[in-house]
Amino acid sequence: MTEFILKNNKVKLAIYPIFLVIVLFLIRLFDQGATMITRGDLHTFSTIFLSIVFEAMPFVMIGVFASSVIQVFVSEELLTRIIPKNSHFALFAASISGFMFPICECANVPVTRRLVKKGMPLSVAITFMLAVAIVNPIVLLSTYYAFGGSLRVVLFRGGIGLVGAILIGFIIGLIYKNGERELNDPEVDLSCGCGHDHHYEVHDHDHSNHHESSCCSHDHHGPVKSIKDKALQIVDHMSGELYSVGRFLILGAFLSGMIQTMLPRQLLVMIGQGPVISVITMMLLAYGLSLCAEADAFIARSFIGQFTPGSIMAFMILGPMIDVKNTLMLLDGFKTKFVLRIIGIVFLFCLMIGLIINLLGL
Amino acid sequence: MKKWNINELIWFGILVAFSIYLLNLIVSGSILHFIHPKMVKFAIGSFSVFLFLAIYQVLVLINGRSSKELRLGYLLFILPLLFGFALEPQGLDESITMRRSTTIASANHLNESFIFSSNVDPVELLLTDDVLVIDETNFDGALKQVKNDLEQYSGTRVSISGFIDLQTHDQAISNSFIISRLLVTCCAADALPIGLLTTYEGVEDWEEYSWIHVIGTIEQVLYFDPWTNTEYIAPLIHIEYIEEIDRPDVIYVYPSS
Repeated sequence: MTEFILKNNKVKLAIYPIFLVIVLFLIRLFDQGATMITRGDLHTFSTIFLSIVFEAMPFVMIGVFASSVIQVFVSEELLTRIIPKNSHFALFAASISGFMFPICECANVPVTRRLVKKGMPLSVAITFMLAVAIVNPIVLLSTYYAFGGSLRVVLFRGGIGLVGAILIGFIIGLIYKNGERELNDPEVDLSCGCGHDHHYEVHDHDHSNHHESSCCSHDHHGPVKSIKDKALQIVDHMSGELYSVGRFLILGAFLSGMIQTMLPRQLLVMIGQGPVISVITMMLLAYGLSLCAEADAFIARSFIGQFTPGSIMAFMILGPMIDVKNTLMLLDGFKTKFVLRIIGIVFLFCLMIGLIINLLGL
Repeated sequence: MKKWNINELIWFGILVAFSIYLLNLIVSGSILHFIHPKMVKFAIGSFSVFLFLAIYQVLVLINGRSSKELRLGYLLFILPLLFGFALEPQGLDESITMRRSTTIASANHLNESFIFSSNVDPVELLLTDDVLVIDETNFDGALKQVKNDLEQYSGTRVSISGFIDLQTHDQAISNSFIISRLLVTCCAADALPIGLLTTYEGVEDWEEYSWIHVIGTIEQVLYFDPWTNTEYIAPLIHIEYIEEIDRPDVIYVYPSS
């Protein structure tokens, strides 16, 4: 086993220099105008790519920091205690709890799963999961900056996210009476709160270590620790989460740059200006990119002027609620039929929002 | 023998490289090719965090940690560094007008969406010697103002600088080009070309993307926007004086607010 991992690692290690050489070669090739892609296109692409990375990175860092502090200091018990049970007010309380626990959409699935296990009604837990990455001070702050200090975008995004999360939670509550039944193996706690290692395993389809409970390299539920230990833990979490969140940001920025520089103009106009197809395209993009909520406003902003307003709003509502990465985590913790239903409802809601905005010409 | 943890080593390299690249951009001022000046403080913040995490990573390397599977995701972090170091991109250039149509009047519904439009308070435009001076400090606000009060500004003389955009407008208007700048709200990724339509007899003597300063008189013209398929009344500058100027170091303008 050890030998296998070693071998595997050696293979993987060899990928690094090969990757470097290929990318550098391609950059040189394109830079000399030896292909269909012009030199200008390449520089435009890299400017867009890098500017999104630099612009969003500070907000990702703030988000990673907040999430690390919460990870170390706050337990789900506290959250379950704070949110009232079995009342409609609970839905509302759950939808605004992102202000107290600004965790982004990377950590929300494991936390939601444990909330359900601890007896929180499914509707309330789902509302929490869908709202926490939108109705969230860090995400709203990044939205504010991304749109050049526009409070209106912040209010629309926050408002629609809030209403959507409550509505979808309410619908889920009508369909499912017993939340515990929708969990996979409710006895086993597969997921760990610190998303990083876990995401990594899901992402790489490597389930070999999956059922080991120690998914963090450190033990943060141990006996009381000194302030220094906790501080080190926070830094350690930050470093790990910056990796797991940052790579999605970079991938998103890369694709956004590609779409905007490499797609033929006619195609871009056709897709971007179509009131329906633009919304569907942006929703699929949000789902596929798995951006972190702190970064997605910057990507969305880069599509303004090329895509309809409804499609940009749909992108910013759907992304934090559900995406590929979240789906994998949900499938891990919940029954497949339940997960598909949630995804379906979220897609329908965002499609509706996008179409309404486009139709009303907002 | 202590096991050398390649994961943590690569991560250390990435953190150091990001710190160096960001520091270089910030110190040289090249960061302004990527982001709005008000966002530079955030860039300094992320430089500090990268540096801090790099220092912490030294501790991790010294103390050692159980080795795990090599993470291929690090390749994604190397990607922006490769582009940054290999190309040294110098920001967007004028050719972005070919991808994002230049906005010449307010009827462009995409840019005037209720949710996404930026609020601009009416600005008092100063007339110096009866000439309305539009420069990089008031470019966005002045253009909006002229579009909003076109009746009032008709017949006013105007002085404006920018680059020549020959291709992205209604070609039905003879001898016309757009005098354009790139409006950056937050970062280069959202740069939108904005400008004023002009007409000038000797337009064929000028090359696309030349930087010019012109003085002319504002008129009104019926304009067909080929990008959005809409028709509206737009301002048109009848050029009386034209001169070539140097391309500015940073070619962006920022929203007036």
